[in-house]
Amino acid sequence: MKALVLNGSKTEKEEVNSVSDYLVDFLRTNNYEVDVMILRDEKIASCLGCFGCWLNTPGQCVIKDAGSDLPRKVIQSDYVFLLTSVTFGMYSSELKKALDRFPCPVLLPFFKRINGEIHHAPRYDKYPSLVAIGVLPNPDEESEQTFATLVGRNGINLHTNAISSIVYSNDKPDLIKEKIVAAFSKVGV
Amino acid sequence: MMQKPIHAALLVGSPRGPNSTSNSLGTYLLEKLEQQGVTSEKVYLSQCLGSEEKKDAMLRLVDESDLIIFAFPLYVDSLHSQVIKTLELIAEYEMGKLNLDKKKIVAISNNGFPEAKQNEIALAVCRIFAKQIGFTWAGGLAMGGGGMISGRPLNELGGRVRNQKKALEIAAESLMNGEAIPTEAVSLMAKLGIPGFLYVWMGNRGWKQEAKQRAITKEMYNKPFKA
Repeated sequence: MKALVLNGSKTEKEEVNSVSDYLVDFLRTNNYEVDVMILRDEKIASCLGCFGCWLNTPGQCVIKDAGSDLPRKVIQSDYVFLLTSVTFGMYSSELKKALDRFPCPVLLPFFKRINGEIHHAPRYDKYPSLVAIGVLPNPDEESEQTFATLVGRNGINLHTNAISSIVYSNDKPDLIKEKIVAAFSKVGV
Repeated sequence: MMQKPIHAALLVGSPRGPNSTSNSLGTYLLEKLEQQGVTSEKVYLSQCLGSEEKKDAMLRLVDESDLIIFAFPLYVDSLHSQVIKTLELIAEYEMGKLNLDKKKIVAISNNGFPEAKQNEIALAVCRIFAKQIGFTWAGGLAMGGGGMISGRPLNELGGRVRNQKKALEIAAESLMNGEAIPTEAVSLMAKLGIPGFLYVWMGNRGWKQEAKQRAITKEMYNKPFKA
């Protein structure tokens, strides 16, 4: 089984990095093949919204940088982990920069009705499960609810199941590990 | 009751910049505010984040404005990375300053699906941003069916955007009266000018025609990275 870990921390000091370390350790202990991308160290341009991945090179991003390999990495993974500080209820700009680069190439431009709403039709038969782990300094109901809803909606748009979990900066390592395992079990591992 | 705005900043958050639906919507609101005496400036975030000088100028513009309007497209269920980056930068620049509640935040979100409600998270993020920094949240407007505008000025589009124009006019009037954007404007903004099923049919047909013209009818379904 393959897992892609997208570490969206903006600095080395963020708790997101500890979460990433615990997660990768857990995955490798359980014999997953793990690909970790520390996004702040990668050259990834922002999506241009050009539709080139639909019309010029269908299924592939036209920007040539570390982000152009994301659609392949995502589609060839069984699980994609999104690690981020919860930023006003959503992902950090580092994580979002990467996330903006892969949904369009892995989907078709055509519309499809799903649960009464319109979304893009799938390009592939199978998509990886999404697990998003957000870090907050303290409990914050509004941010946590928005984050959970966002991750759930990403799952709908990417035709997969998606689970979110919140870690607090002052959580002890054992509790963080417990939360990782709990999120993992919810997504159907 | 909020104070009547004096100087408005429009921050256009689409990577398509001047050619975007976000620009069309934000500019229409700005024009309505200008007609009532508000001075304004507009910047495109895709350009601002490209250089330190432009980024600093954008932050100064936000600092000097008492009404900040974000206009952006929905991107993967939320904000484009350049918009969230801008929120992070503004937070860093403004946090802890005095009288932040005098700055009013307005957000206009649009998406290519017919349902306006898909923008709810994007507006919630802007509302949380305003609350966490200490700005005053003056409301958000959301529309689906952005493909009907496709970056053209609203005044060139006739009846199909009558609801959106009316919504933005009501929003401008409310802001000038020191009030937040009312429910009436929110409802009108969300109302598509054509039936949703027709928008979906036209969208799908448009992509098929585009593929045919480019002779990529089959290639469009390529699966280059099949596992």
